[in-house]
Amino acid sequence: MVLLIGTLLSLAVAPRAEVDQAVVLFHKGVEAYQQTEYQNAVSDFESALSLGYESAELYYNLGNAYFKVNDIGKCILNYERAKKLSPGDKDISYNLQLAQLYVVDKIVVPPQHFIGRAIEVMAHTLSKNQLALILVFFHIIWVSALILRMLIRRAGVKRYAKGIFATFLVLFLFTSVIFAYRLRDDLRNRQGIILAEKIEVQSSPAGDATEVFALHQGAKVNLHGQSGDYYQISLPDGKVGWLLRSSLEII
Amino acid sequence: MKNTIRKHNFWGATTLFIFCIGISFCQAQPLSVDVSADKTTLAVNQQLMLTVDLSGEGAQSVQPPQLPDMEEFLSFLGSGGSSQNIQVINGRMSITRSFSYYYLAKKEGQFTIPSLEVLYKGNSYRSKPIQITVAGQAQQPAQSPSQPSPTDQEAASDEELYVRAIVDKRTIYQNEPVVVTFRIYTQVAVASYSITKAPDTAGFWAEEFEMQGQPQTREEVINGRKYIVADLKRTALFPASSGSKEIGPMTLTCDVRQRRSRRSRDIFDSFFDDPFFNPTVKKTISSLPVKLNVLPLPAENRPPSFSGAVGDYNLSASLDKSSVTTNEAITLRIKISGTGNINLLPNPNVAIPPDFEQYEPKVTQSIARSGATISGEKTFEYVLVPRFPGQQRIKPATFSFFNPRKKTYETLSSPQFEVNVAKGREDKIVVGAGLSKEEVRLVGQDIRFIKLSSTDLRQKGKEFYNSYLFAILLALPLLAVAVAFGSVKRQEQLAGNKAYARSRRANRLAQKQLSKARALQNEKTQKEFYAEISGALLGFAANKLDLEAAGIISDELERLLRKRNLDNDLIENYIELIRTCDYQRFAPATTGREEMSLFYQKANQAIIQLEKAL
Repeated sequence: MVLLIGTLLSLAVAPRAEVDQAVVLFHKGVEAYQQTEYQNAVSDFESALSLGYESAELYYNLGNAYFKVNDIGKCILNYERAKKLSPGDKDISYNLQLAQLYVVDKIVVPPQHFIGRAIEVMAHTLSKNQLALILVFFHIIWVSALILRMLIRRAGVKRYAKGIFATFLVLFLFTSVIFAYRLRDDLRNRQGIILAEKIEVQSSPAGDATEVFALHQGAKVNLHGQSGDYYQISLPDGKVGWLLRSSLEII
Repeated sequence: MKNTIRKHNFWGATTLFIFCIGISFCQAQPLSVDVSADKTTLAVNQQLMLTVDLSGEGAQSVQPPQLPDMEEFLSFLGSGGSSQNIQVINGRMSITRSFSYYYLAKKEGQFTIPSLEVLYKGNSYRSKPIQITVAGQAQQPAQSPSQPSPTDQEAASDEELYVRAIVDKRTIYQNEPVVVTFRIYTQVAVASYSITKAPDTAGFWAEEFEMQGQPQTREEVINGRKYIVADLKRTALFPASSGSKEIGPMTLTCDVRQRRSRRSRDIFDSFFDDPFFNPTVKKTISSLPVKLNVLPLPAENRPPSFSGAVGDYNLSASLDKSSVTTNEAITLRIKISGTGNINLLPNPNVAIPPDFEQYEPKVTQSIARSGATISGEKTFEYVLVPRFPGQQRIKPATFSFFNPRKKTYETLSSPQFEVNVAKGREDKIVVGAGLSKEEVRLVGQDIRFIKLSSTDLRQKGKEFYNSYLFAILLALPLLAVAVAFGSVKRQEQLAGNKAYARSRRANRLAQKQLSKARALQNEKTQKEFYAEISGALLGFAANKLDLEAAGIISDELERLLRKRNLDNDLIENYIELIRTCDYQRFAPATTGREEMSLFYQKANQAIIQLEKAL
């Protein structure tokens, strides 16, 4: 079943020629990186992205290249994007953690309730695509078991099908909850990475507003709303303010 | 006190001299001890003199008696020395030694000075106790000078010697200084003075003015009387809170040169009348408490940066460098100068950008205490260490104060400073100086290597989870379940419910028979035609109503159909058709093709109508 979905997925992928070009750029970038020409690697990976293609590896490599040219803001931005596509990847998590040490702002995240943390972990160890695939998988199994149970009259088969049906229906419902949570979370909690070297966060979206606090390159903020040229942001520790839209990029 | 010591020496010498003369006259006389007070009724803060007289043969050899402890009521001011009186009457000499002690009444009440015990040759000699009454507050000299005391011990009347507290204003704002001057007015010679009780200035911040050396004296005529006037003490007082305040009285003890009365004119007295030998008498004087009305600072127009400073100030600020590298210290110097309470001047509001490491400011101050008011300057030095590169801006420092002269708030601000911070030579590890050891160790490591291949490069935004495919994959199984469910149910109904099955089949069977009848539409097969139509009509009704078709007759059918509450015309028509069929079968009348065709149509219509109605 998963194989089938995989082939269906690959059918959704765009024309071959453009993909090839992106793959060529990707390998060109890898080569430049290996020869420590990090600036070239950055531009190769960036142009692969500008063709409209993405993958966790591409973002991860670009993040690495930015790290080497000392652009911590863009480095973290790309690691975060890579992590979004492939949350379980250990390399991405490790490098992101390392890059975050260079961020000036140390934001203390208040501890979460353990149930909330468990849901958070489950919702974020897999990408949305992976979650969706698992969801379809469970769905098809419980439906198949149900149909078998209905159509076949032999008592043994029926009992067996009933067990499978119940188990996978529960699994399906559980995954649905997590998937819905994740969709809602991603819709609501848009996050951004500060790219400016230093930005003053203001109390209101106006040029002459008072500075509440300052943020530096690489800091991760939650976005809430926008007004004119400003985003309303908050930090995990509860600080709230407004800053210029040009100073950050959404993950 | 110096005076007192000199007096003691003098009396000591005198005693020795007299002793030399009188040594041979010693005659036995009983020792008597007598204690006397100069007054038995006095007010608080007034002075009391106790005199102890020892007379008799032992008077010369006994030690001066120890006075009992009376600290509860009287505070000991000092001893007034001793005197000796030798009288020779008819060749008999009597010696009297007197010791005087000065006390200040401390509190109201009646008390007794206990009897004094003196030991002489194994015998003890006692004095009589004295009853003393201390009344309320002493009357103030400036206000209502009391009558000069008739006793010669009174050094000077309250009119002749008094001290006043003079304030420059009586209505002031909170934290605005009031200058209080303690001025002594005297018509008598004051040899020396000491402040025994400083004025009570609770609720004020006191800033003392410097007085140069000895108080400067001048002459002043008040109410036609000439006084010597001197300023003893000048203090600037800053009230800490608003409301009615009082500056407490200051108490002075003055040594006043005594004008001796000429009661006993003997050789010694004239000798001692020289001003140099004039004994001094202590007099205690107090100033009146001064009431002040302290206004609260106005609430309107109070700037947000105001934090209590009152006075008149100037602010200047400077930054020693405007272009530095990271981790290089710069100094921001803010100087506030002017008149007011410099000591309690709050720090100016300095907004140091968070990118600077900031230390507590170093504060230096200098206060001038010699002019008409307290003035001075206070310098705040902020050491700032920029941690991160960039164009940093130090916003203007502000300082707000209330100007009591103009009765308005004023806000001073420094210029804004721009600091250009260049990146220092430190590498990244220093940037992370705030990290814990473990984290620093991690920083020493490198990031993990890139991925050499990417298997699933795909178009941005084209994600599986929001594709149609995903929706279809979710919907399709549900559809399959629905279909399966439907078919199962249908089977169950077909298998399990015969009546339902018959009812569903009725139309199909009727149609079958009708089409058979159509093939028999001619004169020769007239009977068979009607038989088939009859079979179709009866069979259809029987199937629909789940009856045995074999034994059914039209009357019974009519009854059953009527039970179903159907349209009357429909039933009659249907039964009529069946009866016609029966009639044609058993008593045939020749009918034509057209008639048979019409009848076939009618039968077909009737079946359709019944199907609809049931």
